[in-house]
Amino acid sequence: MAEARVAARGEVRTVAHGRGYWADAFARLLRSPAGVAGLAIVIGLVVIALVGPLVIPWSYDHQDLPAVVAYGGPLPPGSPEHPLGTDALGRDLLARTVDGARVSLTVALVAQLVVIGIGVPIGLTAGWRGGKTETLLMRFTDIIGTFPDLLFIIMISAAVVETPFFGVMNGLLATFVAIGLIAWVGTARLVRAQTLALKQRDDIEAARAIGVPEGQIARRHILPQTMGPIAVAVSLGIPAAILAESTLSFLGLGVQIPRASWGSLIDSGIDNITRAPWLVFPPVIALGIALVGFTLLGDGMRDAFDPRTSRR
Amino acid sequence: MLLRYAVRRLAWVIPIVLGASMVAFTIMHVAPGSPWNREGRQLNPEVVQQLTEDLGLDQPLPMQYLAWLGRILQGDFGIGTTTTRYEVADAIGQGIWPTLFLCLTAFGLAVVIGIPLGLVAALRHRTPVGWAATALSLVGMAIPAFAIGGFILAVFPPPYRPGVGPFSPAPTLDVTDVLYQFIFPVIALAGLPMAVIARHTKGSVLEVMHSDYVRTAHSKGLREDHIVRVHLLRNALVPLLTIAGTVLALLITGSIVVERVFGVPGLGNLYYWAIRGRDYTLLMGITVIYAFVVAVVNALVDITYGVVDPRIRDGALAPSEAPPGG
Repeated sequence: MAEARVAARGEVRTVAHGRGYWADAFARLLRSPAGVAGLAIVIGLVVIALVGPLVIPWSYDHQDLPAVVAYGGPLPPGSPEHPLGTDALGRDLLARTVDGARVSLTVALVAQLVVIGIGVPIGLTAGWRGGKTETLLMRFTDIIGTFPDLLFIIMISAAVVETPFFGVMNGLLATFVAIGLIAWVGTARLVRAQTLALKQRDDIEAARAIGVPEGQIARRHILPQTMGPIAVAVSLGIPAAILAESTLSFLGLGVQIPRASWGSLIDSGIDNITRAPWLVFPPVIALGIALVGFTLLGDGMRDAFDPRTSRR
Repeated sequence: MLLRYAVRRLAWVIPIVLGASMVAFTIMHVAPGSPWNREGRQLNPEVVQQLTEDLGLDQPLPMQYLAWLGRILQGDFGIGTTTTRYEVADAIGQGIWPTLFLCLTAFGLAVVIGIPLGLVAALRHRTPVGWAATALSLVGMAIPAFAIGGFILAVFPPPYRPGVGPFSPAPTLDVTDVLYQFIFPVIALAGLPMAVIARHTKGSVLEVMHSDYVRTAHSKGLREDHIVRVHLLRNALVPLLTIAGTVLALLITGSIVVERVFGVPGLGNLYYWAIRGRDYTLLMGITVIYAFVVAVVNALVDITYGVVDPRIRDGALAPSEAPPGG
C-alpha cells in the first residue's frame, strides 16, 4: 500500500533533512496552494463556529415574532436586524446557519474519534496477530464495507429514532455514534496494511529479538508509526462525516428541533421554497464551503504524507 | 476458468442479500414500540391478543424473519402504514421505474462529463485549463445532491409545489414536469458521481502518464492523440471499475434526497417518507431491494474486472486489493 511506503520514506527523510516527520509533512502541506486554501477555510469555519454565536445578538432558537407579524410572513434578507432574513417562526437565519457550523464540526470531529477508537484497535490487532484473528476481523470488516455506508447509517438512525437514547443532546449523540459505527472500516483496513508492512522492518525485528513483549511492540513501536496515515484518513473522513450528518438531518434523522443543522435547514428551506426561497441559500453555501475546505485540506494532507504523489 | 469465477462470484450475491436483510430485519425489530402503541387510545386486549396471534407476532424473532423472507420471495412485501393501507410490493413496483430512469440517466451524464474532465485535468496538469477542470470537479464533490437540488429550486422557483408525500402523482409530459421531475433531478443527482469519476480519472491518467511504456511511446515518436487513445486511456480506465461501488452508493443515497426535493414519485421518495412516517414494512422492503442491487452490481463489476485482469479471477488478487486508481 502507498501509505506503508510513505511512513518508511518519511523516516528516511527525517534523517536526511534533520526535521521531524510531522514538521516535514506540515512544511509540505504549506507549500501546496490548495492545501493552504483548505487550511484557511477550515480555520475560518472554526473561528466562525466559536465566535459567531457570541457576536450575533440572536440565539438559534429565539423567535422574533414581532418582526414576522409586522412583515406578515418570513422576513426576507436585507434588514439590519436580520441580514439573512428569518424563517416563518422569526428565527434569525444567520444565527441558525452559524449554529449549524457548530453542529457540523462537532459531529465530524466526534465521529472521527469513534472511528479511531474502533478502527485503530481492530486494524492493529488484525495486522499484528495475523492468522485466524486477522481472517475473522477482516471478514467482519468486509461485511460492513459491502453495503453503502450512508444507507447503513440511515438504517441505524431510523431504528433508534424513537428511543430515549436519541433524545440525548438533540440527536447529536446518536448521529455521531451511527456515523462512527460504520465509518471505521476504512481506517481499520489502513492500519492493518500499515501494520503488515511495518512488521517486516528491521527495527521491529530487533525489538522482537531483544525480547520486548508482543503487546508492547504493537503499542510502542507499531502504533506511533501508523499515525501519519491515520491523520490522513481522519482528515479525509471529516467531509464524509459532514455529508453524512447533513443527509441524516435532511431526512429528519439527525439533529432535532429546535437545534438546526445545515441539512435540516435545507430541508425546511425546500418545504418553503415557493414562499421564502432565500431560506435555502445560506445553508447550501455554508455546507459547500465546509466540504470544499475539508476536502482540500484532506487532499493536501494526503500529498504531504505521500511525497510520491505530490512530486508529479 | 472465467465462467467458474463468474458463477462463484454471482453465488456470493445470495449470502450478502440474506445478511443485509437479516440486519435490516433485526435493526427494525430492535426499535422500540409495537404495532399496538397508540398514544391515548386503548385497544381491547382480546383484540390485540387475537391480532398478535394472527399476524405471527408472538413467534420468536428468527421465525418471524423466516416468514417475512418467505413472503418476500413470493413477492409479498407486506402492508405499509403511512397515510393509508397499501401493498408495499405495489408501491415498490411503481416507484422503481422513475428511480431507475433517473439513476441511469444521471450515471450516463456523470460518465460523459466526468471522464473527459478528469482526462483534461491530467493532460493539462499544472496549466490554467487543468486547474479549471480540477476546480470544477472539486465543486461537484463539495455540493451534495440535495444542496444542488435546493439551489436549483431557489433559483428557478417551480410554478406549483411539486408533489409532496409518498404517493405523488405520476409525472406527465408537459414542460414543467419534464423540467422539474426529470432534467433538474438528473443534474442534481449527477453532480457528485461526476466529480468522483473525474477525480479518479485524473489520478489514474496521471499514474499511467508517468509509466515507462508511455514514455517509450513518446520516444518512438508516436502521435500524441494515438498515445492518449491507445496507450493512456485503455490502461487508465480499467482502475475506474473499482469506484463503481462508490458511484452506485452515491446514486442510491442521492436518489433518496433528490426525489424528495423535486417530488419525483420514485423509490427514493418512498424511502424518505417511510423514514419520516416510521413505516418499517416499507423501509425493510426497500432496503432489501437496495441490498440486492448493490450485491448484483458489485458482482458484475468484479466479473468485469476478472475479464480485464486475469490475476483477479485466478485468485492471485482479491478484487478489493486491485490497484486503486489514485
